[in-house]
Order: sequence, then C-alpha cells, then structure tokens
Amino acid sequence: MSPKEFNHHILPMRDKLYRFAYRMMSANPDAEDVVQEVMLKLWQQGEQLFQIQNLEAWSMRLTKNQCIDKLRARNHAHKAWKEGFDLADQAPQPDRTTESNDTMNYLRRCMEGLPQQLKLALQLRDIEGMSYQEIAEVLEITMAQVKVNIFRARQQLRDVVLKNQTLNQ
Amino acid sequence: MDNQYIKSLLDRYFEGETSLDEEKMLSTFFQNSKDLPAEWQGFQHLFQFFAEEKQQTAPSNLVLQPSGSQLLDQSPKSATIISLRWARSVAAAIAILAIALWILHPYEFAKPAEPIAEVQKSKIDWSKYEPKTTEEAIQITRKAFHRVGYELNRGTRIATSNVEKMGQMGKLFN
Repeated sequence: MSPKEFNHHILPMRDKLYRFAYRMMSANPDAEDVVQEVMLKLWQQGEQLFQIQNLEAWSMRLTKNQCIDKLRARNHAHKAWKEGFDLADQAPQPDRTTESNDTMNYLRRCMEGLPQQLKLALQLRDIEGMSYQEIAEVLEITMAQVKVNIFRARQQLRDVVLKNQTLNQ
Repeated sequence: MDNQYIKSLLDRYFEGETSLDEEKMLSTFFQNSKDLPAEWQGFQHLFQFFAEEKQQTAPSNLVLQPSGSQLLDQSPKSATIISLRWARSVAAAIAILAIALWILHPYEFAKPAEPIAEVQKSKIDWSKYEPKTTEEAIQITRKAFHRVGYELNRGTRIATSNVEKMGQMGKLFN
C-alpha cells in the first residue's frame, strides 16, 4: 500500500476510530495510543487490506479489540468491561448539574456511566450513524443483541433526561 | 414539521424502531428548532449532545501520516506472523497428547529400551542348529559347498551372457 492509498482509504477513518477508542477507554492518552497502534496495524496489512469487504467495520473491530487488550492490561479495567457501571452511581447529582449549567457535560457523564456494551452500541448508532448490521460486525454480537442494547441505552438516557428535566423545573 | 409526527418518531426512537433516516430527521429537527415544548427540551439537549460528540476529532499531534517516521519504519509485512494464541493451542494439544500416551502406556515410558542385539540373543535358541553327529556335520558342510558352487556357476553364466550381449551391441555400433 502506498502512502497515497493510505491517505485516501485509511486516514478519513481516523476521527471515527479515535472517538470510538476514546469512548471505550474513557481516557484521552490511551485512546490516542490505541488509534496509533490500529493505524500501524492497518498499514502493515498492505495490499491485503483491500480484500476486506467492509473496511470501516473491520477497522472499528480492530480498534475495539485493541482497546480490550489495553483495558485488560490496566488494573480493574476488565471488570468494568464485563460488568459495566451502574448508571445511578456514576451519574452526577442533578442539582449540581443545574448549578454548573453544563448539560452537555452531564449527558457525557451519563453516557460514560452506561454499561460498556450499551455505551458502544449507542455510540456507533447515534453518534457514528452506523446500521445495525455494521454495529453487529464491529461488536461481534448478533443483530438482536444490538437492538436490545440500543433500546436499553436509549431508555436509560431518556430516564436520566426526564429526571433531570423534572428537577430543573 | 408536525409535532404529532415528531412525537411518534420520538416514541419509536426510544423503542429502537426508527431507521437511520428517521433518526437523522429527528436530529436535524431538534438541532434547528427553537421554542420547543418544555417536555422536549431535554431531548433537544440529547440530540445536540450526539451532534457535538460527532464533531470530536483526533488530536492533531497524533502521528498517523505514512510519511511519519513510525509508519515508514514499519513497511508492510510479507511474512505470515504466527499467532501466539494459535501457538499456545498447539503446545497445549501436544502436551495433552503426551500425557495421554504416558497414561495409556506407562511401561513403555518407564522401561529403558533394551539393545536389539541383546533381545535377539535372548530369544534365539542357537543350540538347535548345532549338528549332533559327525555325519550331520558332513552333510551340512557338503550342502554349503554345493550352494557356493551353484552360486559361482550362476554368476559365471550371467557374466558370460552379459559379455555376449555387449559383443552384439558392439557389433551394432560398429
């Protein structure tokens, strides 16, 4: 693969891969490392890369696996991956949010508090605009599981939004 | 856009039943609309949040260009890299096979191998081939000489035949 081909096919995915890694790692420096490593692996694939049917989904999956490796290497991270977080514990108190008047930050933290599988499914659907089929490929789960995860994630966010709205009124 | 339609779309959105196009429509509506009903303002923030998150980009200091030293140092690989996981599986399979063989045939593993010559020596009873009388010894010796004589004559016949054939071939070439 030539640098020109790399710039044309791979580089446009950079931001998307970074956002995904950022969401998964919950830490900026680690996400950068992951994207760097993924880019390197993509480059090393050479011409074989063009034989892949859905390069974007494949790259996202590579990013996810790279993140899992990184998370496993970190203390307590694997537990978080498997079990997720309790949204009620992680979400900031609504009154404090009202005080800071930072709704975006509040929603960000709420999303961060979702269990990992729900968070990633929501990220890929509502932020990246991917189809259920593509999400299933990236997360290596069935379409039915994708739908359930998105449904649950949206329900949890809706509850948080409505609760926050009620308290602010 | 009709509020009733938006409400039905919102309901379907939270049930996970909307298509990508419908979700895009909802997002556009909530981002561009002002003076929304109070009960929808939270959802407006939610869709604004999604749109804002999509704007996030990778840090500019991230070296990703192929011209960057790190990528150039790593040229595309040509050799196949053996997966460590695969190698571990093979090693485990070999170990299990070895243990299984050891359990099934413990004696073969425990006993040191005997030299072949010693095994043969211990099993062949040479005494039965020994001649018992002088007559028998003469008979055996005679048979041996006959055998040697026969083989010698046979060798001579084969040699003579081959010499004749060579002579005929020589004539053909001349």
